[in-house]
Amino acid sequence: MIVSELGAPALAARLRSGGLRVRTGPVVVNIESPLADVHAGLALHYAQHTVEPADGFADFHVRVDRPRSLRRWIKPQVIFRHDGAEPFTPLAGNQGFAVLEWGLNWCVSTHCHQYLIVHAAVLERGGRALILPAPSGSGKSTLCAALAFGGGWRLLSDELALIDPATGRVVALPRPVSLKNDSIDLMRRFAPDAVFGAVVHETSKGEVAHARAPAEGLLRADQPALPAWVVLPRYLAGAPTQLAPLSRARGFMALVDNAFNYHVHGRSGFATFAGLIDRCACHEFSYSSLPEAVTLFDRLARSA
Amino acid sequence: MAVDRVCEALRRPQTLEALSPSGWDVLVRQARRSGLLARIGCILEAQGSIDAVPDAPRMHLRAAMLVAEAQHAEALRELASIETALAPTGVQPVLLKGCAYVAAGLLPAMGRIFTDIDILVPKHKLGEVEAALMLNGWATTHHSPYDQRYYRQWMHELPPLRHIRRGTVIDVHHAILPDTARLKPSSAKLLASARPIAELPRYAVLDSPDMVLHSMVHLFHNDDLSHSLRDLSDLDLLLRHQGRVPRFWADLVARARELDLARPLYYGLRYTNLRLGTPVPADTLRASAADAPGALVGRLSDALWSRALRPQHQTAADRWTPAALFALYVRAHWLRMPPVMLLRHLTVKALGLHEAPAAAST
Amino acid sequence: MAQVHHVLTQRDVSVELGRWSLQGSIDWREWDGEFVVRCDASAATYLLSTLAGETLKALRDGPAHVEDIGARVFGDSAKPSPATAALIASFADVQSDTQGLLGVLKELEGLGLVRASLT
Repeated sequence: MIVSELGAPALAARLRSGGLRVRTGPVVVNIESPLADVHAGLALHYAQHTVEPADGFADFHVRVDRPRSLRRWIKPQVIFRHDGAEPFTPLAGNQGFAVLEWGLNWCVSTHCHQYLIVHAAVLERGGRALILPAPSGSGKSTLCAALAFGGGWRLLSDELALIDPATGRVVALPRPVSLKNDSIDLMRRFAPDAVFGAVVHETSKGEVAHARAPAEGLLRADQPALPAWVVLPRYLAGAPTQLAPLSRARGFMALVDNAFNYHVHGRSGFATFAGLIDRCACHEFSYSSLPEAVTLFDRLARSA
Repeated sequence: MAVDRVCEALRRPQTLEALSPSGWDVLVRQARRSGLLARIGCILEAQGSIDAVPDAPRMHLRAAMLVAEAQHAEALRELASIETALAPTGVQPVLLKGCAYVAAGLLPAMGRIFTDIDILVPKHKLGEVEAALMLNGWATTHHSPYDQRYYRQWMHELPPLRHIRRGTVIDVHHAILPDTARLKPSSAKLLASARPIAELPRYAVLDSPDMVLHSMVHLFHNDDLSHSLRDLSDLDLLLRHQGRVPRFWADLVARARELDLARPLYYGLRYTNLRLGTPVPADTLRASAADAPGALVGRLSDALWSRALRPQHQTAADRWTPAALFALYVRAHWLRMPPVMLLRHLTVKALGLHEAPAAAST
Repeated sequence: MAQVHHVLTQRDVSVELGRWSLQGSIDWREWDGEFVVRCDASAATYLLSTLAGETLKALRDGPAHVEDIGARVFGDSAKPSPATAALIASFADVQSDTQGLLGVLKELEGLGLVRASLT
């Protein structure tokens, strides 16, 4: 059964008590929240996600709620809880769904050490994976969204590259793509068919909205992909769209610098990244035009 | 309905083969909150049955074990740095708790998660040790004058020192209980009986009975109860390991009385036996019962500790648990300091008067 | 002050005449003349230039004095990658080889990858 088959009343009931249990790729999450915007966000972005039985095993039990302090009523805040613990300070008002998404990313990157996890977007085409490692602000999410919505690439994740050390493949974690500020309008124009949730204005990052992950990514969530390219993206207003060569050693260091749990994997982490880089072409990429960027990656995919 | 799957898993790991997915769901959550997820994984691996665990929970066990391993490796690197830093002082630090188990390869090292390094040094060397550490990149934390005084004057340790570059933390103790506490275990005796570690001869660990007693003191006098079940499990493993030597039990009782720690020994033996099935010989329990509290206090202690020595998780709590934890928190402070000081300390903390004027960075 | 000077002199002697060796277990990979290495003792990972990487590689065969390292890196028996060959071609004489190598070795020592001893 998928989430949209539950119906709004059943969905709300589960979220209020007991939890909505959904699968995203290898991870099953049990979500509770009394907040209307969280309900709306889940109904929209997780409509096609599989509902898991309540008596099974969930990897994470999370809750998005108002704090227990006075901020429950006065200038209300929202807070993310992982199994009762509160890893973040509360945030303002109606950011409930955004907080859920950030919280889920945190859960995965902090606990799923069966993978080597890199802060990167990952897309797949023709069975080969493109890894875009980058800190926030590099334009990675915008580029990732453009490639996924009509650029011909399957989205594996916009934030977390989960690398299986045993196979060297990246595992898909199909979740909404988070976009900020100008990127939101940019993507609305670039991909008119993309489905967007509510735009939230109160965040410290400016405006935030989520675009529902394309259906193909969800349908093929159980298909990992072997990396073929590591590309460091950088949005630069007015810059020509170009792909510059990056030495493999520097590509390796980019993976290390952007990894969440490299230190946990020790020597094995070094070997996993080395094996990955062995198979990959590495580049630096700067762009200011999304259509040009998509065309360039199209060419990249077609090349040997 | 409150359930404690962690104690069950530790007492009878063989029963985990038949655990349902929803049972695993509760166990993983409770174990993670208790800091015992990696230990349970290690026990199953030692038993040869970890691969029979269903995929999803097994991933969490393996992930926790990986983190513990990485922490152990980091601890050994830290100890090498600390050894270099303290070499000029001539001190042979005695390792305590988690890092002691790992450095000396003792049974409670299994799946042990810890972050801080704890060392015990003679009180008269405290200044020199602190200076040597600061020279090598460690800086003090808890900057408010109140907190500094709290640690240095009243507690048995320096404020934790954090390394500027690596972010690792070291707690330097000069005793296992504060000078203001009612019980007075002699640090001189503990240090005199300490044994060098074979693989790391510049370091020592407490003698076997002393290590067990310290574990008990730490558990039953700690105001932070979030790791109480893990500490109980450490104690259980120590007792099982040391207890194979027949002399150990008699030595333990005698040493406890010598160090003024007979009451914590009573609690330690009683609660490991009750909650984790630690095989304590009957005559040792009888001997230790001489130091039991009166019947009323005894019943109250049982009620409080049976709730504290559980996973600190909603699935394991009953409606008395919050009150029990609070009572034990106050008790821990009561045991550490005289009543007037206690009242002042709790007031200062409650009103936030200990905060430093500028943003205190830790 | 005299004491400090004495210590410095001792350091220089050990650096010039000492034997260099790898500090514990080191993992590495090379691509196109650049090296990435991970030092198990410090759990740190570094990107190394061609000369630094070749110097480290030369110590894989065992501890050596700086002249022997030079022979391993620049000598006839060495099988240099194209990048190293280019490097070799740019060195004018033996004297600057040694100085260059010493500088590299000191940097590698600072990173905790190698150490010098007088024995």
